[in-house]
Amino acid sequence: MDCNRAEKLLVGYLYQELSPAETVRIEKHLESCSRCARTLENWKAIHLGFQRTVEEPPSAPYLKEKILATARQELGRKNTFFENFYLILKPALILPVMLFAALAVFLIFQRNTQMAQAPKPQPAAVQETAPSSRLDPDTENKLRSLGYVGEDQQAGSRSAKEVSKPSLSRDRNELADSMEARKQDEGRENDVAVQQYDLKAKTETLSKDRPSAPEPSYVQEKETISPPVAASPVPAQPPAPAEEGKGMEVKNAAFKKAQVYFERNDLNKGKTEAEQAIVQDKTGSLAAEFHEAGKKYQSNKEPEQAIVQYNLVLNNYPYYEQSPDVILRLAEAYEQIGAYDKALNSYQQLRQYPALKNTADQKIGEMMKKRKAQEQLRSLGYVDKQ
Amino acid sequence: MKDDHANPEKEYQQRSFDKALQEAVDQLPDEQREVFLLREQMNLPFEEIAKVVGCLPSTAKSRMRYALQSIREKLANRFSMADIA
Repeated sequence: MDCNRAEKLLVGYLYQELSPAETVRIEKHLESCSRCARTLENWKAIHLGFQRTVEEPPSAPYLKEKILATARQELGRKNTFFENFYLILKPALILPVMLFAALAVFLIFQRNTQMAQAPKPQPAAVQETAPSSRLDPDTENKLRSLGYVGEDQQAGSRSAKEVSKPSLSRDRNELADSMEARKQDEGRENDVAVQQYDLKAKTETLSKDRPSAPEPSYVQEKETISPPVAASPVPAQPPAPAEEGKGMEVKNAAFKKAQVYFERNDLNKGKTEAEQAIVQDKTGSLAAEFHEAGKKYQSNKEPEQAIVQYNLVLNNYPYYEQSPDVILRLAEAYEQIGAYDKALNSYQQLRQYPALKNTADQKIGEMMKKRKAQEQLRSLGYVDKQ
Repeated sequence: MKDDHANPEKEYQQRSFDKALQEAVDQLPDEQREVFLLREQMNLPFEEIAKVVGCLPSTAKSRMRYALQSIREKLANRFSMADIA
């Protein structure tokens, strides 16, 4: 293998993405080529160095040493008697538990089988005593239990045929009537239950069909707010079907890529990638992700990144339930970078929500004062004119 | 790691290297930096990187190779890789 070919395989070898055959070939080449071996060592150093910057914060060698010392101590420690006993006992406990569970399942299954195989009622005896009966088999069983059938099987007793027919038929008729009445009552109760269920289902259907009519007034009023940035928002989608696997992968990958750009302070590319992710977002789940990302940046004193995240939410997810919080945080972020006009605009939007009106009014007063002071500083030449 | 703690000079050298490495990565062309960060920071395999950036896996690996070569050239003047690795 020549060095040109080998160098093309080195990247795959460094990240362990070669096939076994390719691995053997490249390793054989590296044994005999010091140039390629040196290249690999250098790339490994770059890889390890970058991993250090990603994983290890600039910190506490003391803390690291303390953790290592504790780890060494733990590794060197021998198990106590009970720890050793438990290690041996653990497999010995699992087997009886599994056997017990299997036995319980078997017994339950057998009981159910026996109940299903219980002898069924004998229709022949019933027909012998009541050849013209208009009753169903359940009623016949009740008659047997009351002693009106099957008496010829008892020792010394009179035959069922000798039972007085008029009294038998009268009792039978009364029982049939009461059974009939009870069936009618049950039917009425069922009808009521069905009607109630239908009513509930209709009510739920109606509420699902009205996505633009939530109960809280501030949510309803929110619909009149125009988005803070001029870009036209994507109209909200109705409750969406589950995302397909591939679309979700592309969405997640684009979102991650966007966050990498934001972390590297490349806001333009981050916003472009984020918009790609939003296009793939069928369920609207990214609204909360951007919201959380914005909070993270704001707590890390990076209001610029936070502003981009919040605007992505407000421009693309106008029905996001946490929109008031997003608007408030956006206003605070604008204030942090000294964009008092933008902050003022956001606080004015917050006045639409009754719960936040007082806070918004207070902040509007503060922003107007700050804006006036900023203008005076500019006129005095203490800050650059914009 | 034990050696780093015992050898402050090596630790200082490593920190300088890491800082220079960050700068070298920031100076990479966009396409190479994208692949480099997705591999090193997000730990995506090259198949996935290719899907994300919209190219072939072999193209993604080539961009990574160029990125590593570029970083190595920038750092080789200031650092001996053998000492840092």
